[in-house]
Amino acid sequence: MNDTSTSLELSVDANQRLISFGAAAGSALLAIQHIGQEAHGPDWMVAATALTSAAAWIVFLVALRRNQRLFKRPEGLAYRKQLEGDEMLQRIQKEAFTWGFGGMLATQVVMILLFSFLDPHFLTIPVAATGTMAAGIVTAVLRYQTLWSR
Amino acid sequence: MSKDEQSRLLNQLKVRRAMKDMTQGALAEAIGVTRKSVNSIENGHFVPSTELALKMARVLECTVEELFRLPE
Repeated sequence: MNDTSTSLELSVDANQRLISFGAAAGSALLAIQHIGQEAHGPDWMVAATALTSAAAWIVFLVALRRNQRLFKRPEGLAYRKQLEGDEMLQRIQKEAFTWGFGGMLATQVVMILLFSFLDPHFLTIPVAATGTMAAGIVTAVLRYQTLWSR
Repeated sequence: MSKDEQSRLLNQLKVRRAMKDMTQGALAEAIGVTRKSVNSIENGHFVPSTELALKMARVLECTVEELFRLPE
């Protein structure tokens, strides 16, 4: 009996990984870029993080487009229907969302503690906003990928 | 027995599939989930809902109790 993954499944999975890690790396590097800017870090570091963040978001968009194209093919449409009705995927998505939300809340608590006790000058609104967003995305992505790749 | 092993549901999916000469993909298609889900259920990583267990039993022409059982 042939129980191996089809090339379509493998392609969709590979694109999904690029989408997930592209968003995670893009948002994390964006937060680091803002910390660098607010902390008056070296220009090369700010430029490097800005460029790599942009590159990660480009990877995210390209993989998203590739998956959209795959899902337009007849076999892709059938696989998409299977994914939409898949209860394991739905449970994984819910759990990843919960973890992501938890990650955002934990980051907020850490930031409040940092601001209350250390008063770091770099903790501005852009840093807090991008940092919270990155924490949520990274946590959700890691949880999703861990559960999906079991 | 560890806590993880205790919470696992034992199953006869692979045997029942073989008896019906069905691939994971064919079973997945018949019950409307992905092949990965069927694989995860077979390996005990994912516990299916009652509805999904009933669908599997119907496709494999057996009872849910013949497909799944709790560890001793």
